[in-house]
Amino acid sequence: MGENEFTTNRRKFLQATAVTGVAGAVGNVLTEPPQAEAAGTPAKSETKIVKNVCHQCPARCGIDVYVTDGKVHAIYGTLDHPISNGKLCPKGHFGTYILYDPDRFPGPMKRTNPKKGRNEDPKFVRISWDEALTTIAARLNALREKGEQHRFALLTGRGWGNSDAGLTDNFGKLFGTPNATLGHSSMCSDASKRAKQLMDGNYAYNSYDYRNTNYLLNFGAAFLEAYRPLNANMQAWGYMRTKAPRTKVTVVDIRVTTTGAAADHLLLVKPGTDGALALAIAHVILTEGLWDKKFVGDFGEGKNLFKAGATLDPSTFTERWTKGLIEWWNAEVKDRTPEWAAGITTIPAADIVKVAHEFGTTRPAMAIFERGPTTHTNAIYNGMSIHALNALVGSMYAVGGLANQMGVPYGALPWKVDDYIDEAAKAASARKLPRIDRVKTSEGPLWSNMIQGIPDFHMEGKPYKLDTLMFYLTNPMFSTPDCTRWERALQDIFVIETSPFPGETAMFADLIVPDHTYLERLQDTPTYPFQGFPLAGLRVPAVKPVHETKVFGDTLIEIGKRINGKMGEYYRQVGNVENVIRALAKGFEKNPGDNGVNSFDTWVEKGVWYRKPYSWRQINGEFFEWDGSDYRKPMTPEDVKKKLFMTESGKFELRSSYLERYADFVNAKLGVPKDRVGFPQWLPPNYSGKGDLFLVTPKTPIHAEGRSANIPQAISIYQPVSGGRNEMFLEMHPKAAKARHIKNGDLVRIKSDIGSITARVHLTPAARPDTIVLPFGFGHWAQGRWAKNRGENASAIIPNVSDPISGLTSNYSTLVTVEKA
Amino acid sequence: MPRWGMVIDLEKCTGCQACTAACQMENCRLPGEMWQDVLFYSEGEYPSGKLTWLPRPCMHCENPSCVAVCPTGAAYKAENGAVLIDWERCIGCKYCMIACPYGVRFYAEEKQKTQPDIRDVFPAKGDKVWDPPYKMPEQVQDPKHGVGVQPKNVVSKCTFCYHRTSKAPTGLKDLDPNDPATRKFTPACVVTCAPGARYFGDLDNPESNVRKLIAEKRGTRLLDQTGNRPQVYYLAGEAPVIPETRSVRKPKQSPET
Amino acid sequence: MTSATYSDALARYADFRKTPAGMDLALMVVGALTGAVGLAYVFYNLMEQGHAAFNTSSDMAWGAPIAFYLFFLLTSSGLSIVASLDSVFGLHVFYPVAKRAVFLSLICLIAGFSILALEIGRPFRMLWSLPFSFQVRSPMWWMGVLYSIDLVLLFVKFYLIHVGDWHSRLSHFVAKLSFVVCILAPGTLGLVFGMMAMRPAWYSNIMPMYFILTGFATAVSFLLFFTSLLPRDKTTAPNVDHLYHEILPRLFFVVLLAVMGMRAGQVITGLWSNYEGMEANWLELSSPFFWIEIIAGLLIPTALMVSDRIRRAPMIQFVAASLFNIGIFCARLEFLIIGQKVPLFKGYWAGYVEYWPSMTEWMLIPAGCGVFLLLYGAGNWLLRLSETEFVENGRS
Repeated sequence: MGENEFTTNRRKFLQATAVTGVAGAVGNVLTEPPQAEAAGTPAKSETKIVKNVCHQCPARCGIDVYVTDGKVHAIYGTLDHPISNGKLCPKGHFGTYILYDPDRFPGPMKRTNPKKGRNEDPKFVRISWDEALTTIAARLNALREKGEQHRFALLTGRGWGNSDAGLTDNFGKLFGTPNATLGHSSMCSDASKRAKQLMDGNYAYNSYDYRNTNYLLNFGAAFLEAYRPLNANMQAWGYMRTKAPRTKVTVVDIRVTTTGAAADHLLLVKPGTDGALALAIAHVILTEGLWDKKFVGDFGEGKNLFKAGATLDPSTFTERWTKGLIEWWNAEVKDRTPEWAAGITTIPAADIVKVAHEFGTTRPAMAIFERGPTTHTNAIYNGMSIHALNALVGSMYAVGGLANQMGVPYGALPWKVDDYIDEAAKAASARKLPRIDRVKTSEGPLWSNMIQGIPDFHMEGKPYKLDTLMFYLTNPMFSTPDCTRWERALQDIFVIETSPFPGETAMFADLIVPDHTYLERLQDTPTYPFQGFPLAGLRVPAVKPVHETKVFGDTLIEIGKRINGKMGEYYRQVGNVENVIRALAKGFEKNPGDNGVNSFDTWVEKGVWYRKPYSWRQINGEFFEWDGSDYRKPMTPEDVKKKLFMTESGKFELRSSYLERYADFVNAKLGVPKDRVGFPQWLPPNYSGKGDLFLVTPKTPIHAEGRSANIPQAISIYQPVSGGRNEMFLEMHPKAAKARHIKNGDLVRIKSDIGSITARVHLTPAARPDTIVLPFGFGHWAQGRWAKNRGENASAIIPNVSDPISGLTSNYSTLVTVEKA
Repeated sequence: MPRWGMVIDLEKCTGCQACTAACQMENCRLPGEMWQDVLFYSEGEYPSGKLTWLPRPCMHCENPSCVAVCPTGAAYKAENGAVLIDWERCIGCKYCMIACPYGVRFYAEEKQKTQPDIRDVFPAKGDKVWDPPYKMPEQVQDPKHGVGVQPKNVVSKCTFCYHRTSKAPTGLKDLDPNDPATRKFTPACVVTCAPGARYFGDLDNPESNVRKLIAEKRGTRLLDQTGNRPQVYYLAGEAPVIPETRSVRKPKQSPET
Repeated sequence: MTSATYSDALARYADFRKTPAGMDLALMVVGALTGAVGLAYVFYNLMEQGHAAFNTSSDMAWGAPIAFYLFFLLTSSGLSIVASLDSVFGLHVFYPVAKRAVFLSLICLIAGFSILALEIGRPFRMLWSLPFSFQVRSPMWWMGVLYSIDLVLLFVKFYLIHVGDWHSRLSHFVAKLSFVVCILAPGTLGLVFGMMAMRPAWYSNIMPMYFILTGFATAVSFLLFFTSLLPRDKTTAPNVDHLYHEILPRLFFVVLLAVMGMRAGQVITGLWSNYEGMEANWLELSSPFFWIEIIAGLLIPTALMVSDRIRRAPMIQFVAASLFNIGIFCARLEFLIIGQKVPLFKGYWAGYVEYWPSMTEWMLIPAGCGVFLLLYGAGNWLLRLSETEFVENGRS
């Protein structure tokens, strides 16, 4: 099957795929060696490997999908894929299960029971795709006629690529709504991105050079459980822990995780106080003269003048790539002694000094952090305090340090969106209405998303009421804090759900337009931040769709075609996602990948395009660009400002000029004095609730991104530490239990200010006595036969509190009480 | 003929259970039927609690007690060193499950801990336990070597992925999952192990990588006092995480009491 | 020959022309009813769920059905030993129960095998795959071989006795051979457990002795139980009376003491040992099966058998024998549990293996006992089980 035989008809394409297999067509065929040659053995079927990209988490591991007789029977990592390198995490193998989930929607459905509720059967009936798409288009056309396009919103989750979630921006522009791309990042990790941006100018997760680092100081990132890309992290771990010298690892967390248990040190910190610990480590590094002088700079005399409690004259220190070190010291760090931090964090001062010594004297070293420190109201200041350590030890853009992810040189789409913006869309944008989630309003000038606010905002009617709400790869009804609010909010909204699975949101949907699962899709997947060099995977359908589903991109395009006016014309031009991908692949003709991918066909064959190396590097305080064979091309400070430190000063700002622009806002929301707003600093977290125990709901490797809830195999191996196979246990210290007359195995009631759930206790002597842990995962009331009614959902009792700066939910910051149920 | 053996480096193992997942899917196992399990052990109290884990495949013993007790010869030591079950001879007496010191044998005819029972969701026609849609292709299934979807009422166990390893060309010292030439012959758990904690090779070849690892990193065997002489070796490195006990024995002065 | 002559010929072997009455009828009716209910329940559930109808699992592979199997097989061997005591040791005193013992031994063995057929995964496959495998290292293989020989010998022995051949060379030879097999078979069954070094709670070289002894004990209690049900009046022959009222209860008392002695040794060793796996002996202390065994199965029957005067009473014998059988059944079950209680490499989270028989497993009791009683009642009715060697031979 050659390129010409791909028709623009999606359906035919898929049928053709099913018959011969795309991968089979282009040559990468592995025929299993023959089994017994005995007579009577059934005719041998060919086993084909089709390239795809895993969708169990955002890491984008390239996968080999094994297909025989039109059935997928195995998934392994792709050997020549830079992220997976032939490996997978546990979730990766369960993709076949996602494909053949017996609870999937068989095709488009409409609701016939107008009542919505947990105990209301939606009474879905099958409809044709045409009816489904026409129904949606009719609603949207009606909104356009009334000039109420803003009342259509699209909530997206883990959709990637220009052929997928990337289509929604244009959809919004053409249609005329500011709400076509409402992401879920405010319940993911917005605070870490924002904290980094405030200091180094990059609003992004970093890329990391783990293999070359000799010290990893990890604040609340479940490196071996959920931190992305998990598969690559684990590969790096195996290397780091057996190389010479062995990479030393210190983990700061609130519970005994596998990451912490496998590390050299595990500091069990009081929830939300990671920032204090980081500041104390900075204090030790400075007072003991352990900072990287080539990156940070030094005192004029070369003599260390940092003394605890003593203010310094900024002119005594010459800074190189940082800005505001002495001001920061004077304003904050001088008083942040290990003894001070011990009182806040509960970590003994001696342990803090020990870790600071190790971190400060081992190079390369890096400090990483994620939701442990950032899902609190002091998220940004915790994050900044930690990220500052990377400047102090000079790890930014260094070997064994942190960098940023480069983009993919995709081909441009041949259809110019601006040519198709009609009067209706222009009129809508002229009204400059805010997004329904109030992002970038005075309420959240630095928010990227605020999915957890939408139910309240809609019910308040501020800024307006929604009319039609489409969900794509997100189930906020299960996963946002105080999640039951959605059940009230969705009562008067026409809900369109695209999930192939009968989740909670689907149970409130009026229309189901089910998506393909990833093994049935054709889709591009540019990489998640990884090692910096650009990389783009491709999903190639392994089998004909199991059910009458449609890939989300095509659903969106098909809806677009049915919208009146120029918008419909645009989408008729686009045709389908395959055309989009072919246009993207044109970009590889000029930029062939290291593995020879230079066209759509080669992309299909290899499943990934990538081009090494990363372009920039900091060596001993000097920045260089790759010259084709090495990092030898010196960079000017202007280059660095343009490409690497995209801050006002072009430096790593220990006094954030960006944040100082919002001094009034921060002062009003968090009470930080205006002149201190820009410094990484200790700000006590605002715990929610009147309880006496912290409730934390971390992720485990089997369930890290929430896709395993209805996979019995995953449920049966659900483990560390409190997931005792088949049931989720609540970790509780025996002393805390005894004080509440709770015994091992008791069913207990966990009460927050907004509600209560039950869970079964597993006494865990290794746990912090002030913290209870209920790993995230179970507690669905829908989502399929295995997921349903397996424990209770902690999201129902976590109050909806967010970090006012980044908008990230503060959902590890809840205080609860526990009693015997 | 090689005598395949496995080396597991506990210093690298992250306890992620990808080996368990890969094995379950490759070998059509029921939920909870973990040929390749990862066992967790926890002791001690905050702030110095200890958590360790041990990946546990079948040990494919040189001297397998399970084979010795089998009354029908269904349990046997294959020519390539694997301990296998002939599903066409097994009578389901379960004596091998009693006699295995490592608890690595399974009998599917039990109440399923993960409900609803998946066997009712994907029911089999005829004599098989179930019929998962993602089952191993028919031509790879091999009941004489205990490979594939199993018949009812027989005992099952890890086969060292016999359907993969038995196809390896002769003369290989090691089956390296990172080598495209040997990857497809390597057991599923070894192929997928992200930190690269697993090695698979010929224990009879003094030049194999597994032999070198056992020598250099002082490979050790679980419960060697049983005399079963496992063909799975553990490297404990700086992290001696081989469990002190096989089970759950709690100290008398447990803080839980 | 006419059908009447067939009938006459058959009548020489079975008293089918006699109307069943009294205890025989009662046993048969009760046995048939409970057996039918039990079997119906068990078969229905096995058809529906397969062996998942049992609460056994990959961690507790052997449970209540195996306890039954042990109970019946060991009792069978014990009964056969009793029946051979004359031929082997010249203990003529047991003549009056010899035939009954052989019959009981036979139906015990059949009951045991039947339960095994319900328990193992593929019983029909066993018929061909076990005998010709020659797995000489497997104690279970030897067990199969020896019990198969035992079954054949029991049939021959019963036939010989039934046709009145008590003293031919063949008869004595069969009895002696049967005696040897009935020592070896339960001994091998003991080895099935006793050789398992990976299961320390079982690992013991005196396990064969324990099995032989307890099997003999249940055999004696069976005889006591069934003879206590027999009518006794002035017409009872003195040697029979002596056996029923003196010898059997006294023997029962002695074996009870022996069993208690061995059991004490096991329990003390188990509780003392620190060796991993032996903590099951401590866990056993909270098991009802253990206390039923100790109190109902050993202490009370021993107390009832202490006094020469009290133990003469058939009612007391009936109670003591019943309690002992219940106790030993519990002991067999508990014995199976303690060997498997401490899991083999299942991790900290697994905990100790919990096991309580399912309803289907419990229903094996009415099923097995019902069929057993039916067969016994029928045997007693048809097969002249009270027959002893002819007194006119002058040897008794």
